[in-house]
Amino acid sequence: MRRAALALAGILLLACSAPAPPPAPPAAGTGGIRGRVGAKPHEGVDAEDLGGGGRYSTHALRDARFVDYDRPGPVAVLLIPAGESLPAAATSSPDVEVRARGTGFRPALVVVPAGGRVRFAAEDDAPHRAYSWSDARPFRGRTIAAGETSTIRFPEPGVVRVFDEYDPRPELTVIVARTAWAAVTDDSGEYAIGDVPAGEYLLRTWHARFPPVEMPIRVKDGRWTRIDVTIGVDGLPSAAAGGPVSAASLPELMRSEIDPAFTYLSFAVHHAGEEEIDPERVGATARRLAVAARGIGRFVPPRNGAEHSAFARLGRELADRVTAAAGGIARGNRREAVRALRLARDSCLGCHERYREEK
Amino acid sequence: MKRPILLLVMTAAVALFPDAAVRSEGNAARPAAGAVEGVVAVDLPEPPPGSATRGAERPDLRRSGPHVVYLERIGGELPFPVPEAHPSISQRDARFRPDFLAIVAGQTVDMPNDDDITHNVFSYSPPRKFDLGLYPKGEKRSVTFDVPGVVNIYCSIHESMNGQILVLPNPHYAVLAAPGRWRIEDVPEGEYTLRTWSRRLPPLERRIRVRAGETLRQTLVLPGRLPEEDEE
Repeated sequence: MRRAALALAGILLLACSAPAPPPAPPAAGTGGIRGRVGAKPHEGVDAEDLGGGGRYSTHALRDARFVDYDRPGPVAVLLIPAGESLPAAATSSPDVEVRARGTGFRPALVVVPAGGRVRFAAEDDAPHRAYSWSDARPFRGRTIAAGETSTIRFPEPGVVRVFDEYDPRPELTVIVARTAWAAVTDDSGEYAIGDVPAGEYLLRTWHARFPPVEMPIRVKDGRWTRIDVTIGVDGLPSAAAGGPVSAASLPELMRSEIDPAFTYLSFAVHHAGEEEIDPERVGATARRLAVAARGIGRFVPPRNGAEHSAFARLGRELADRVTAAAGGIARGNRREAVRALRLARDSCLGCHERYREEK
Repeated sequence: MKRPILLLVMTAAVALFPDAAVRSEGNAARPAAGAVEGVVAVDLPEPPPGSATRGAERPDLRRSGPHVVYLERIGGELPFPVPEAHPSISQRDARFRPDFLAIVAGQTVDMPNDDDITHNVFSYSPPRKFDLGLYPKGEKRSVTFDVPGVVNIYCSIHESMNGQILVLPNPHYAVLAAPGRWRIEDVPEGEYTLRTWSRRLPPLERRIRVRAGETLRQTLVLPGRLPEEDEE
């Protein structure tokens, strides 16, 4: 009886996850972003072979599973506003339901706006107890058995890894987003984020195994914009090279990187801070730094608020230098622009470092 | 029934190792160095009936590891010789072996491919981002880790290959495969933050002073503070 009900639920679920009809046009003043998040293997690896995941037939490799580049698993997509003031936090987002069972939490990745709640529901006969020690939300829930639930609120943005105390192998990741403009990809890799105020944003991905992708995007008034994203290992330095990271204490480095100011900084450092500025690509670099400067400008304390914050000072300096670079480009003075960008890059690296120290 | 026993063990541990400095006898450490030792204990209740029936390989937080106890010097680290040895993380049967390693900042880790198939190792953790590319059986590639922190490593071909390298700020640390005793010798005297790091339990931190020629005893009870709550 129960099995039949499950099968029926499965069929209904399949029906629901069939390709969605084009979404309704967004309301005036808002727009939507949708697309597919795909994954790209190393060059030299045959994507055809890896598509569909799969296993080896040899005994020693019986546990080995290929990364499925066709379906890399759930990816969280977040939109972080740039330029405008942050809207009020969502006051009444529906609870996100997570089912706890012997094989793990389902789904294994959820996005909750800051202040939102996750309801854990036990699905098998074994007891479960969710807990986390992530900085953004340390907690220990109630012990729940079949049919019972336990609800946890997530007030602060961050990445929260949740374990089951009675079976800590499987893991749940809760991405607590500062805004409600976030989504997790479905089984076919598609995502859609609607009702987003038109304007400039930074799109950022989160995947359990692949590095985040960050890209500036624009939400257009009254329509859906399709943005396909590719995740993978492209762009990581070779073993010989190192990243521009300063020493910090361990808990500091383990802290969430979903924080918007930090996200803008990493974005800027990643795209403009690591290499010598190429005079041929000065315009592109300036645009990236401008996005970073706007983002940082929004999240640093106001001029009269924390006068002593070196991070705030460097943030304003960065914004000023990017403006100077943009001026140089506008006047067609490439040398002036490159010089201003080099200075901006120094402020940017300084910012990055101070942020770690002050945060 | 197990819980009273665990409590008893912990009480005994606290009695044996009061958190106080005592002169150690026959100290062989350098004049300016002391030692820190103690116990890592895990205080969690016995899982309720029903949960024990599932797979025998289910890790039990009360008995599993690894746990690392380490020191961070307040006011900045002193110079120390980086160990010349290259610890190794092998790729065998499509697993990283071991899948957890604690090293000191500046140390190099060798990552040989001991399988018949091609592998890769990459990381995008803030302390060390790298991509070793694809490499075949018998080849060995190496990475130096200069910045302390947690580095998660992955293989871009195999989903089952996940590992973790904990890069520590100095050589004053102890790795425990399971809760139990630890001892860190040869610690230059001074103020430190004593910290724990565990894969699935929250870290503890405590400010301590290491005095020359003395052994400081510390009992570390995990999981420390985790607020219990529920909104229903």
